[in-house]
Amino acid sequence: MTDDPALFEIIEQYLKGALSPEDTRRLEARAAADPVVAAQIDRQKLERDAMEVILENDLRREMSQWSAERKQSLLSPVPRTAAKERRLPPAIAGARRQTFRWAVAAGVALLSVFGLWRLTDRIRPAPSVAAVPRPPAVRPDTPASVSVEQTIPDAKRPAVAGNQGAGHVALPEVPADHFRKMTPEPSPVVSPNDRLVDIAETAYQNNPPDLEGGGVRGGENAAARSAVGSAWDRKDYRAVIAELKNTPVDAGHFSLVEMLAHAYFQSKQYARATPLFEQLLGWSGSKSREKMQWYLLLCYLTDHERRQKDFDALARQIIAEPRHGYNLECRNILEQTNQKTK
Amino acid sequence: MESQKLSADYEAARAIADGGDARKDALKYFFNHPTLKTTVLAYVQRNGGDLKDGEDIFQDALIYFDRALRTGQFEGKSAPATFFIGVAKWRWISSRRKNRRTIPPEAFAGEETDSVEVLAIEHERRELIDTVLSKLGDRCREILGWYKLSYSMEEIAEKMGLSGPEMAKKNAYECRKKFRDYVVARPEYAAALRAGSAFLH
Repeated sequence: MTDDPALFEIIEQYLKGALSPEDTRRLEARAAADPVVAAQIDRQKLERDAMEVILENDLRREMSQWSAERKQSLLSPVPRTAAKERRLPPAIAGARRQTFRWAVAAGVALLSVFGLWRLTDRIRPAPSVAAVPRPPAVRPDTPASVSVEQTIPDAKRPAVAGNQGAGHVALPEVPADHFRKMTPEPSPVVSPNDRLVDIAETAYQNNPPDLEGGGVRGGENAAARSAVGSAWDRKDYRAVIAELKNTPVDAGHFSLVEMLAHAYFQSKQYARATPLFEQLLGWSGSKSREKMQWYLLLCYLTDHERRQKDFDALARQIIAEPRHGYNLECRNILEQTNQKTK
Repeated sequence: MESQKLSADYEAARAIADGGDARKDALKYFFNHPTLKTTVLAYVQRNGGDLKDGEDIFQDALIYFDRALRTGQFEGKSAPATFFIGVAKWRWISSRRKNRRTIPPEAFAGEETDSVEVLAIEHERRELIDTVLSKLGDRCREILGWYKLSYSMEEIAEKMGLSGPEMAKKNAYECRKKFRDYVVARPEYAAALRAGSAFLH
């Protein structure tokens, strides 16, 4: 494409952002002095953009197909147990299945040992302590003791692998067919309430509060406020709670109570967060009402068994307002909740 | 549970960044992600758009997300899903700016998505590229697509049923040249396409 293959390759690396800073400066100086080189860069950039457009068009076609598949799957009944697993890549689903199987196997083994022990206990006269059969010792590497967390790759943030063009995210290698096989499998036994808590937490994390630690600094008792603000920024919610738990719960301390409520939620102390959000909703003006309704709804969801009526009433309220800021999220929550509680 | 989701998200992000055969399934994973779409639709609706706008922005975001991962714009400073939502917000803000609508300053925090802006291909330039691409034929478009995804010439030869890597290289070269010749032969195209050039003279 150019008479100089070396220049072509240098420009390719330049456009990928993979050229060293020194070589980049050298090429740019050369292009500034030589219009032929500048035009060559333009042409290669254009070709690379064209290739991106090819991929984009291809992806748009795929998305249309995925949308159609999604609509189709919504119309046809799906086994409820399969719904959650289907969304997960097979490695994760596999890890859960594996853990579940080991857990069942371990449970059966323990029950058998216990049953045998009870049986022998009834048939024979009470033996000496030394004669009582003991359950087999569990070795540290016994699969039954392996948690789900241990069977999946560490969820730490990926390390930056330097400026190497594509593929900066340092993560475990993924086999080519990794995401292809989304075969529905029975999901592990998780109590309905755990699932609802999971839904609430996910919804919360997807719409985190837009509080900033800095927002509570200043004003009276600036030092204490500054400590809370720093703790919030560090996501040290225990420290936030420790600082704020004695805050008077009144409308005059709205932002601090709000922060405390969120700190409780983030620390999974939902039962403490709920009454605070109820209070906050009561004090809210039109601006913060929608937010408080949403977080209160999530609190109710974490205690669905007892607060179902409150949850339903609040959800109905939100759904009834098409322009409510959390209308869509609420619909989504209801859809997921209905699947999990049926 | 949260860590499992994160881990799955990171694995899918890695598959996209690698640009290999797992890329499409990983993109589908994000497309069907249980919460991403809802979050994007809700954000757009809260910031002056409707459901249709939200759907468009979600699809645009997936395109930019794919591009950002493949070109190393995503450095893992945030979780993939957070980055995706950031891209969608940036896309919505850009589209609002284009239509000269007011943007509340708190609607968008730049974070890691600041760098995504460089990936944008101007609408006019994109349309012209589309016109030129339509003259290339399916086979050329396919080869250039594989090439862009950093497939080796051996792999391209295998996928395209060519005799070997040399033939794949020759095909890719000819397709690129065909594209270039078409543009160069039309000065009016060249001028418009240069508007989005990498090197500003």
